Amino acid sequence: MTTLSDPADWLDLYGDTLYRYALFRIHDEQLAEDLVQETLLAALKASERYTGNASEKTWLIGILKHKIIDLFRKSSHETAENVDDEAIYQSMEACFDEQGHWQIDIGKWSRPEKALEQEQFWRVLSDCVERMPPRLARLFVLREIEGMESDEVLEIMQVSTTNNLWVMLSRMRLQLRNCLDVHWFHKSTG
Amino acid sequence: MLSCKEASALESKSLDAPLTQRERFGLWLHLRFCRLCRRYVRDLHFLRHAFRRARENGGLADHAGLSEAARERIRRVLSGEEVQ
Repeated sequence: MTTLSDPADWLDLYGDTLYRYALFRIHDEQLAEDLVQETLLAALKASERYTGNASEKTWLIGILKHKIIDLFRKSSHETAENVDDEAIYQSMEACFDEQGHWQIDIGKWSRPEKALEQEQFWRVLSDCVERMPPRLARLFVLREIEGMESDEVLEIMQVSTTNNLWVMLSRMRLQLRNCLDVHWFHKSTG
Repeated sequence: MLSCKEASALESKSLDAPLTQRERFGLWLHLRFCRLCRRYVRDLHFLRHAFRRARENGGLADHAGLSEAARERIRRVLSGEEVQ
């Protein structure tokens, strides 16, 4: 059976990994620091329950992931479903004319695959998510970064219907696509 | 025939749930004739792919780690906890 390393070393061994993991999902440095602290505290208390099935790092990330989901769950009670939607609705509407045809330029992205190899691209992508209304961003993080199924996301974020969820995700994707278009693809090719 | 607005919503929905036969056909027909929506589909798939990659990477490598101050604070809290 795998045993845990000295808890006193966890901060040095995994602190940065946990912090980056949290920051990429919640975009708030203070909150990310608090989550790292809570995770390590929880791990300390639960260390006798560590089964050794997962690596120490995976185990800690699992605890952090639960904490992030709890945070999202709590925040979803505090924000009404439609609070953030108006802005994103308006900017989606602006993409189409009255007949529903595109009225923005869907330009061809040159070699998107190459972007994934560039460090700066990930920064731009993360900034684009951060720009979205918080509730939509959290919803998107659960669906696309955590890879959760629609019904799990629905439950955690208190979305009333799957149809609403799809609509929100659709608007979010359109926004992100346009954000990347302006801040990455347009820039690097133009 | 679907509008681009309707088609783009279905393109996105197809990433979250299986489309009905009617939706699939409508979308297929639209995409045959609409170059912009074909591009949009490609972009959506690229986004999905990029976020999947981000998940595997565990965040942004170029993000600075914990600040010294935060590290010190957490260390104090943790060691306080260990003594108990």
